[in-house]
Amino acid sequence: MIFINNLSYRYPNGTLALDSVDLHIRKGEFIAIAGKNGCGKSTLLRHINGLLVPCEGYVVVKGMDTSDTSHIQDIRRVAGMVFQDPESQFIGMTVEEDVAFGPENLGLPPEEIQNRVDSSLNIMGMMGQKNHTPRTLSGGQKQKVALASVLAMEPEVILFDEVTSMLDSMSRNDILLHVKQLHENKTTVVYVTHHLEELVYADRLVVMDKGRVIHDGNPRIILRQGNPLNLGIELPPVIELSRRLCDSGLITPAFFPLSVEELREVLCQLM
Amino acid sequence: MDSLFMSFVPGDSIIHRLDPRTKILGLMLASICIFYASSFEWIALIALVFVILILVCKLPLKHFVHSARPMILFFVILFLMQLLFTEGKPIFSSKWITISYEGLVLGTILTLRFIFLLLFAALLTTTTSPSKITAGIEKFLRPLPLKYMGISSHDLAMMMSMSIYFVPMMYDNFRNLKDAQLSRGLNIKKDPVKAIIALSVPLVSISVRAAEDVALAIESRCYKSTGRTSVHMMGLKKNDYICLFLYILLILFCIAY
Amino acid sequence: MSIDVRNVSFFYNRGTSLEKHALENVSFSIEKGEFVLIGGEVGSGKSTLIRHLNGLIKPQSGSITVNGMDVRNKGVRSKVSLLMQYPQKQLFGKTVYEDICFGPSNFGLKGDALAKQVRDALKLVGLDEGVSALSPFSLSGGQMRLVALAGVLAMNPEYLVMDEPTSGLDPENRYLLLSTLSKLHSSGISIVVVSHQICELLPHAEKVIILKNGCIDFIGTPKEYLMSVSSPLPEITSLMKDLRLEGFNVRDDILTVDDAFLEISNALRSRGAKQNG
Repeated sequence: MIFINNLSYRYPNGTLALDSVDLHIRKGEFIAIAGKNGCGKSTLLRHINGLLVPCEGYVVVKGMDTSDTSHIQDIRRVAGMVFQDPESQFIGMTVEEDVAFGPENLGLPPEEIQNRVDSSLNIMGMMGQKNHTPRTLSGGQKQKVALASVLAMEPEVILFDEVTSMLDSMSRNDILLHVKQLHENKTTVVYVTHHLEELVYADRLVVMDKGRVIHDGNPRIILRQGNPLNLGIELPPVIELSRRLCDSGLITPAFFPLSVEELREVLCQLM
Repeated sequence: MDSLFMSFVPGDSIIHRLDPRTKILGLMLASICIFYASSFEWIALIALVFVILILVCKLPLKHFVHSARPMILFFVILFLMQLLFTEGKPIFSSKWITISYEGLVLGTILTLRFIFLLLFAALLTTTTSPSKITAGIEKFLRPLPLKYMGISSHDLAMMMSMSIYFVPMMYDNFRNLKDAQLSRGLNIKKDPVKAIIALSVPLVSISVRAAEDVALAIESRCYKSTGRTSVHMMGLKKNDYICLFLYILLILFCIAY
Repeated sequence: MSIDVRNVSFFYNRGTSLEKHALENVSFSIEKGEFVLIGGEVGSGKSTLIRHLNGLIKPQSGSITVNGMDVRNKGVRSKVSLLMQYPQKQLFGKTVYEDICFGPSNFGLKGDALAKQVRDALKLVGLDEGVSALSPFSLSGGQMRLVALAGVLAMNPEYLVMDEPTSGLDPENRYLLLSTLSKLHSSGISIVVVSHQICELLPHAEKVIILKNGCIDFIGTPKEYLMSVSSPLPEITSLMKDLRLEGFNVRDDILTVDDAFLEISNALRSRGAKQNG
């Protein structure tokens, strides 16, 4: 689906943001990309839908090279993107108009646009807010509208750029469940985050540092070995607890538990 | 900010459902009529039309009054200027001021004109969502040879709707920023120069960042300046043609009168 | 020495058709040196409340005093520092040094005393003195937030009030900020943190206040909070509560990984011993 080959990128000011990254993302995968602020994960994401163009190497999305400007609209339709800041990604005056913006750009007929707007708002459970101004919604609702806006373009890949980092834990879980649902419906998910708690549903974890890929594999195996982001900092509490219980031999689960539910399950089986 | 000021109120009346172009055209005609209204009879006629329109759009008068409220000071000044500085037959005079009959009439008419201008504009903005207004203006601009200047009518309409969106966002940002700097001991009255710097520098950088973010969002959702469609089905219906017919009658009547 | 909030109520757009109740008869106090968490959902009145604490909003009824001084007096702003959400947005100085000077110089500090205050503030937040000559806009997001924090610390506040201080930070910067806060707390400054995500701060706190629709829904110690509320709870605590419901003999007022590990391993071992015996 997405081939990234020997990709390097320098900011206009000369700093190296990506350093020969190779990555192959398969259709239907749920891939999480983690790393500290400034490790290059958002820059990598912006290469996938052609918002940035490689300085070296190439990115190919569904057979289209992102540096070939004649395909750029098709690439962006195939790979939709949800951004971090819920405030500044709205374009429409009402929720409905914002969701319609993408399909309008595709030049679809009005009835088709209306159908897509309604169905994506239904999927995200935001139909009740159709005529609201995006500004009056809560952070979690704003991100759901942003996701609906991307869904209305019917993309095959959705790129998530730290979409939960400004949300409270309840809205975060809500968004995450929606992402999981989309993945189950065959959407390819590329999920950038620095919250390791959010890796429960990912089938692959890529860890970046200083513009390079330093880990690429099963998230449970990588986290079992310790914090891949920084050795000085503990893992999220529940994962740290799982690790200590495993280390001391008290539990020997087949899957390394990453969440409260999973750890409870493992412990209850011991009863 | 008064949240009812010129804001859109969703509804399903005949006026709501009219094509935005019909309404914009209507507002233009109404403005011209108001501009030429020079007697109380004319004003009364305009008031009658306005009342009928309000009854048709089924919205409480309150919304329109709210729209006019922030301008009261302006109206008062306008009225007083005319009242005090128009020469004519004095009806009241003291050592400092003289009020003439002509001043009273002229002041009242002029003030009423502005009030009705505002009320008709409010009628457009309350019954039409901002994006429909921009879509309507976009359609009007389409025949202009803008593309030779390197911009499309979509670009212009987009710029307009983005600025409508940005103003309240910047207002929120400004309020937070002001609170932040006040918390750091800023005294606006004592040190206005410092205050301007402490408020404007961060506001500019916030705006630049917000603009960059929105630009990215627009780009990643495939914006293009030609060949866009709109979710709002725009097309002139029976009621629009009736209105257009009435407009033409009105124009002919005015020319003849 | 404390901030005393007595029977404070506040309406937005008072007397109009858009009147909205933001705070209703709220009373509590913040002692000197205390670490207080104020939680509640969006729209519960949190941000209205903290704007009262340094007089940005004057109470419409009730009273607020800081060390006995009425909050209407602008002098309280040097005692109670308020750091807004995403404080990196408020930076404007040509250099970090200049920006941090802004606060203390507004309260009349000059010369060597000012320079010392700025140096101390940078040290308190753990930033290298080398950054003071740099432009604040050249720093990373996490560093900018620390500069903004230094900017209010340079005013030498007795009470530091913060709105969502960790929002949007990555784990490393979050950890850095939280450890800076506990360092400030142990140096004697009162810390008041307002957040809709209070769980990560519970282990540091001494008092918890939860607002709901403008009223105080809960006030007490973190332990009391864990025992009386069903959500939101820290993940570790909700795990322990779940396990207890499933029949594990574990305490459920637990906040740290260390305690949880101890409890679970004891429960598992005693269970194993029973089965063997």
